[in-house]
Amino acid sequence: MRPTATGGLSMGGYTALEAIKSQVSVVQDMYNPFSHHLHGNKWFLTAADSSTGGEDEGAPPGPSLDRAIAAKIGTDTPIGSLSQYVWYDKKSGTPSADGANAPYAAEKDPVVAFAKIFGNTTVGNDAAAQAAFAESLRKKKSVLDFVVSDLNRAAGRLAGPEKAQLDQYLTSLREIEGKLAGLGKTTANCEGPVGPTAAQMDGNYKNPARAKAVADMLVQALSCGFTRVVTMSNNSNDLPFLGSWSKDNGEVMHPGTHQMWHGQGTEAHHRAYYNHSAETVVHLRKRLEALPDGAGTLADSTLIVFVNASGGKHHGGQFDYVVMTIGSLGGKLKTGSLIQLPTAPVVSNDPRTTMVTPADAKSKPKIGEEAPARSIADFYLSVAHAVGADLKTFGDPRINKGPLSEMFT
Amino acid sequence: MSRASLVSKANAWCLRLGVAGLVAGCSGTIGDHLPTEGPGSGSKGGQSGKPGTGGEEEVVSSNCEMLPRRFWKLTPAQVQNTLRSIDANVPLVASTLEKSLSTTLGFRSVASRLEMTFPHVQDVVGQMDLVAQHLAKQPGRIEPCLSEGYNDACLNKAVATVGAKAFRRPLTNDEVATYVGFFKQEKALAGNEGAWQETLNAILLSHNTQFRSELGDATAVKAGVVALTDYEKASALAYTLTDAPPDAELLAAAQDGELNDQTLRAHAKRLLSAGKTAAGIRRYFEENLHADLVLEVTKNEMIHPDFTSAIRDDMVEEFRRFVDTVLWSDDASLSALLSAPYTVTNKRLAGYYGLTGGSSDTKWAKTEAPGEFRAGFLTMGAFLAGHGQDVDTDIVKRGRFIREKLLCDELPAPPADVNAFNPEPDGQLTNRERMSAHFESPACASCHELMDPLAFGLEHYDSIGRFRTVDPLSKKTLDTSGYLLSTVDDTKKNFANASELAQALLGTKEAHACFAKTLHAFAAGDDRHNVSLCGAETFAETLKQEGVLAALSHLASEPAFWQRRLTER
Repeated sequence: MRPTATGGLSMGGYTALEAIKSQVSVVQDMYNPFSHHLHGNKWFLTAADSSTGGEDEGAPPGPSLDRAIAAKIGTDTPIGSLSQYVWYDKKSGTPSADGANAPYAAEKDPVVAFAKIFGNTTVGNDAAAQAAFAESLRKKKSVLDFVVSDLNRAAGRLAGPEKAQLDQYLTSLREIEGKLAGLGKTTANCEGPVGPTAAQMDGNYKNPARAKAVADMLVQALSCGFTRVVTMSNNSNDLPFLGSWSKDNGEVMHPGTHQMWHGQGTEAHHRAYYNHSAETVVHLRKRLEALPDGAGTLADSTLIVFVNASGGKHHGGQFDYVVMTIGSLGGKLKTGSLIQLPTAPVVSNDPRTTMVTPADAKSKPKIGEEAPARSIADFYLSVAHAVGADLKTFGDPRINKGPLSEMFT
Repeated sequence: MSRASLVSKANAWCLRLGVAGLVAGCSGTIGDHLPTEGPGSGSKGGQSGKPGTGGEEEVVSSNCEMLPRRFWKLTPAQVQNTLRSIDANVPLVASTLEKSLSTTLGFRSVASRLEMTFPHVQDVVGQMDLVAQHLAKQPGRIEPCLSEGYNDACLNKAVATVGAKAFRRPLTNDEVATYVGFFKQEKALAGNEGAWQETLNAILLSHNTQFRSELGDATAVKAGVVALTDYEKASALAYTLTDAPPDAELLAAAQDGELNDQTLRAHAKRLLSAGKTAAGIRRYFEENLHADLVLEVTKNEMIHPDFTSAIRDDMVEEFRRFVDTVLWSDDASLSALLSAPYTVTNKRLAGYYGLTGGSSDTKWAKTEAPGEFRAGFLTMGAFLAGHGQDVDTDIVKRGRFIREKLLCDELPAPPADVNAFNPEPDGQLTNRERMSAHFESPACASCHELMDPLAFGLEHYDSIGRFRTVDPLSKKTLDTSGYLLSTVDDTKKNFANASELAQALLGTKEAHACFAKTLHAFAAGDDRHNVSLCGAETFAETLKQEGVLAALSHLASEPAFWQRRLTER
């Protein structure tokens, strides 16, 4: 499955990405000691340890990459960032978080998400409808201004830990205020956003077109200026459109990401799943390329980051991360390349071994062995810097050495 | 690393965790330091958040952790009930608000959890707007004088009325004036009705409505500790026990400054006297025992055609009614919860179980269930089907649940590179026999010995909660003998079936300590592991001696329930 660099970049099992490989960088050989058994490594975007709460319950250990970036570059857009599931699956937790113990909910239903993002942005041409829309916005803004002002006074009288709840409420209300303020502007530049079609939603999660519906919606949110940061989670315990296999007892099963990480399903299923994700990435890129933005297209100023939550394996995936970036951000980042990160011998008290949980001990490198020297936290920090989010560190500081210079031109 | 040394490490790790979880469970000694009379006694703590007073108490042992001053977000159900206290006919908002909360198992309400994210607050704003529209349509329902006009006197009264219900305390004069000022500002642009709707919306979106305040009066701090105001005590008690705002009696007592340890206990007893008024406590059982998992689990429809959505709903309802019966018609004990020789069924579910139950599908009746068929929660469909595979039973999941939820032991995740899927039914072996692989490797056995033998006792109940004695695939008679291995002293308690499994659990200190720990954590809104909260030890002792309802009534009068520590600015 893995991409190779022999004779030029080849996308391996991710064949769909061949079409845009000139824009792809594959970054390989990073470690993530916190990628232990979490049924999809629920908080993989935090690069920090979530070892409490059990496999289905744990709280986020810190901010996720998308929210950390949004806090830096998303403050002047109506919505800081959007997080969206592709498949409705009650067991899937959101990968996004504002900080420790502060999960950031992801929207599960594309139709509902579309209404929330674009609701009321398309107003009829008649004067009465426009006046009613303007008055409705004014009222909402008045109420929020009042509530925010009241909340500010209350929070100002409290100590830090006591006001954490109020601060979060305040931040969210301000984001909504920002969205309302931005609606007037975006409506002018955002011509008729189109929601998920009946054909895309037909059959609910059985429909592979659902991923493209979500991608389309997020591209529209970017192009309309509603946000600068979007996240898609392409994860489900049941993916019927990939086909089925029969168990020994004759029962027909559909592969899901969970089962595949346990090694179930055929090789064709695995390839189909990875390529389904890859096809979505290609679709996303092509949509961005089709949208004019200044002298170029939206793709010129957008970076797509394609991350496999568990390094391709359910267990012991700490050293098998395949991550890719798509887009050069105006020549800032390398493209069309496979970036092989350095390895280094494991030494005593090395975080690459001391932080690996006992349950994942089998994949722990031994002292003296060569092992990846850079971490997923370094990669995330590099992404943040590339898009202009000036973070000093990201994730657990013990594994964060700084941005990966290898990714930049 | 040799295989032998790896095995040794895994083994030690699994057992050590179990012991640590228990040792950390209850080590506080606050009970020895409690004052005999609490704050609030005899004081007029009423107006707008004055603290209860009267206690010269020495506060807190250093051996336990006191809850901090905090704001505590209301759950969607609590928001709904608060809105209903303003108008019984407000639109249903809870289900929409639930959807934008991050999916989580465990307790819905944990004070430290930050849930006011943009997606959720977007829903809060939208739903409160709907409720404000509803309330503004009939202003006279809130304050009759509004039907005749919006003069200053009436506005002041209306704001004070709706504000007091939303905030669960009287508004200060300044607060009333601020909202009335907002109304007047908006009136010029939106007219009376529009401005009133906006004012209502602002009240509903206020942090005073959406959160419970547990700040006390910062000017009355003693030794870094502050007592909650009487209104805060009333809210703490009401939301914990009833999932709803304080009722009129509790608010009146707060207004009169009558919420001392004696009266708080009396109010707790009153609220706990019936299931109708104690929905908060029912929620503890539903959330701690994951009763609604049965609504979500996937079952093979070809093999289990009888497991319909109606049966799933019936199983959840059975659980709720069973808990109600244990709490209010039985002795409200862990023993009854795990071993009561009855359940509560309608006709459909009774038929499904092979029992004789209610006379119709809408009538529910207490149903005798002889121990060999049904004995307590672990033999109810909500648990058995909720923790079953699509075709066969799930021995690991059932055993893990018992170990973690009923004994509060922490278990590690499966080791790396192990296929954690259960072997498929092959028609030759029973599920128990297929699970024997777990005991062939010491590395696996070290943890599975803590889980699988517990669930063996439940093998008479299939994946969808029906009783059987023979495995339908292999046609073999099922073996339900098992044992409970202690993580404290490595002793084994053998049992022959589900009924004896329940008795084995009830015979351990760990099960009782776990029940007390989780119930206390629920009431405190603090579910952190390995933290000994003040009041937990006294609570556990009362629970053991007198049952759930008495323990919760006692809790209401404990300083730990209504004192908070200050945090540094």
